[in-house]
Amino acid sequence: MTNPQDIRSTGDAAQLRASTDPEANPVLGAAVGDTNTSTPGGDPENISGLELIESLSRGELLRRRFLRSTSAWFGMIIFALLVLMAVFGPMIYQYGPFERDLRNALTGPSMYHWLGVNENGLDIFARTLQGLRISLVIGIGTAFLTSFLALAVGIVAGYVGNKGKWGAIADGGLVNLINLFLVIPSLLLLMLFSPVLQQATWLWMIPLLAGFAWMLTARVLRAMTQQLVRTEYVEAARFMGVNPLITMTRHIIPNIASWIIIDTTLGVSAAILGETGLSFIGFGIQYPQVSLGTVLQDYNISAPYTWIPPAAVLAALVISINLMGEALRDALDPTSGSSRL
Amino acid sequence: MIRFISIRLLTYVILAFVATSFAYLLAASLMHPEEVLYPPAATEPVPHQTAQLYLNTRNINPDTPLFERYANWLGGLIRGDLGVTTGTNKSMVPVFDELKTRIPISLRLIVLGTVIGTALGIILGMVAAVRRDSLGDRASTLLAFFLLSLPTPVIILIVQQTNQLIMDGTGWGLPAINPINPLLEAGSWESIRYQIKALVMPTIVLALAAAASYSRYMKVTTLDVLGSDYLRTARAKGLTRGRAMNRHGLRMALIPMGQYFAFAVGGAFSGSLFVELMFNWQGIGRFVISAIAMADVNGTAGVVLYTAILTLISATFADFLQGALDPRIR
Repeated sequence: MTNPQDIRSTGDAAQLRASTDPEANPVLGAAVGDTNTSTPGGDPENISGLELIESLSRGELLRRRFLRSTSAWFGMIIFALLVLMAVFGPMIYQYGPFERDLRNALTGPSMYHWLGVNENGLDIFARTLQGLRISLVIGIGTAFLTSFLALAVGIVAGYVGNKGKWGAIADGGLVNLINLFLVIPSLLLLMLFSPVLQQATWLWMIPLLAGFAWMLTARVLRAMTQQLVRTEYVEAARFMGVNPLITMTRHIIPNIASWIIIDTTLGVSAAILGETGLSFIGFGIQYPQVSLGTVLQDYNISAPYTWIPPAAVLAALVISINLMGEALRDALDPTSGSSRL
Repeated sequence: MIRFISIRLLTYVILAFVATSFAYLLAASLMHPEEVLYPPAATEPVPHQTAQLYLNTRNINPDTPLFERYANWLGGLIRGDLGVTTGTNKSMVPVFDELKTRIPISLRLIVLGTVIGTALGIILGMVAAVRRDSLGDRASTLLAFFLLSLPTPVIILIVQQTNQLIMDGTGWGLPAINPINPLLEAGSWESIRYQIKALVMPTIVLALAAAASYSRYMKVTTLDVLGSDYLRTARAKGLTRGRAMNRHGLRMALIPMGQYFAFAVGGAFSGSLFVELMFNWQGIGRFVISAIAMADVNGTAGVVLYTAILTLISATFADFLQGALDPRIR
């Protein structure tokens, strides 16, 4: 959130700091603290007397803003409950996700089958909890991998873009690659790849989903990097002969980090939705494993209990992640309501 | 303007061609049509000669080099021939004919759903932005948030289940499966009425899914426009809030939406795939699911070509809209 246009003189800052109690006014306190860190060693005799007043660090500020929103709390509590259910679920259920109880097929919730049994005699409670585990692992894994891929492609394309002819060609190539991925519905390509890779292990689902999810984020990151490359401090670093890799990690990534964090959070829910859709049509998670999409596949309209539990768990999972993501976005965005003084 | 559109069009044609070729090569190298030909349960092996002949006439012989098969397929593509369906279906139906009968069924869904969804999303998004923090804004934002958190199959299930509950309660409901009723005489008023009734639920699903994401984007772009200088100038000249928004704001807010629309058709295709599967419509979506499951290389490539053309048309349309809306491009 460091705004390059926002340059205050140290005199102003000192005056502000003197008139502001950081405890009562954390935002302003931190903003003042920022100016302080960005000009290290500037005018020692002016600052020395005021150094005693401590200001909030950026992380602390973010934490406070995040925790201030109710939706963040809702999201965190639901998500924590779901994770606990996924972890401890297998200790509770009486029937395994693949144990067939055909005698009770298509019966509603009972003492033995807490959420009922589907047409094939499979216990819905056990399957939902097992599916929740797989969906969680796939969602979180895919989100991290997607962000990494998008970061790599986006930054390289944005950084290289104005570095002579070859840079422009490389940038153009990457942009067209992104567009190419957007032309074919990724669902079709996922359906092509998934059965082949599933033969090895279900974990292949993570790189597969990530491979088709990084494009839009990469486009945004490229645009952001292009703006940053033109700023004075990146130019200065370049003229000082700093290695491009170091410039990227030290000057560019910290500036786009907030966006990446939000995108990773929301990417978890996107990955879960993608995996569910794919499993639902039978091209996702295969037999020895079960995901929420596979559980939904056995729906029966005349017996709502066959699909409501997995759908509810899925909705709770995605909604809780989205709530946290939105709260994070609000916390990181200086123009949003949560940063009001 | 014409130059701008023709350059864009050329890029899209190249992109569509590359995408389809890429998909053909992928399908041809990843799928094993010969395994479908020799099911493991077969007691007597198919004679080698017969098998080779079978695979060669369909241009799916794994012994032929990949690029030779690709060249054959390309030759057919230039003549307007997409090859024949393979897999367990032995009747060699041309993929083109198969697509021709199925495209109207799918396109009906996609076009109706996208048009209604876009219109609804734009109106809701704009109203939410203009009347920020009103009851309507809160309700529509919450609904969009909720819908975007559900996968399409769950939205379909909710709609179908609601219909079922109404049907159980009142005895009147919409048909949940099949787009046409084969028992009714084709072309009769009864049959047409059934078709329209069958179209309602799938359209609701697709329109809801589209409207949810469009309204969000529209809200963001409209909020940007509302804070802009030219709108303040327009208000300062004495235009009322509504007039200023209609004459200056709406146009600028729609420009970024055009680019989003171009790639949203891919999403509509995925959505219609679930709809076709769960409402039992014999459209492109069902065809591609069975084609991939049966290792039908030509059929899969044909569907990818269709989606690429669909994206191409919508992207061109979006560019055209952008050219019409944005005076800076003209």
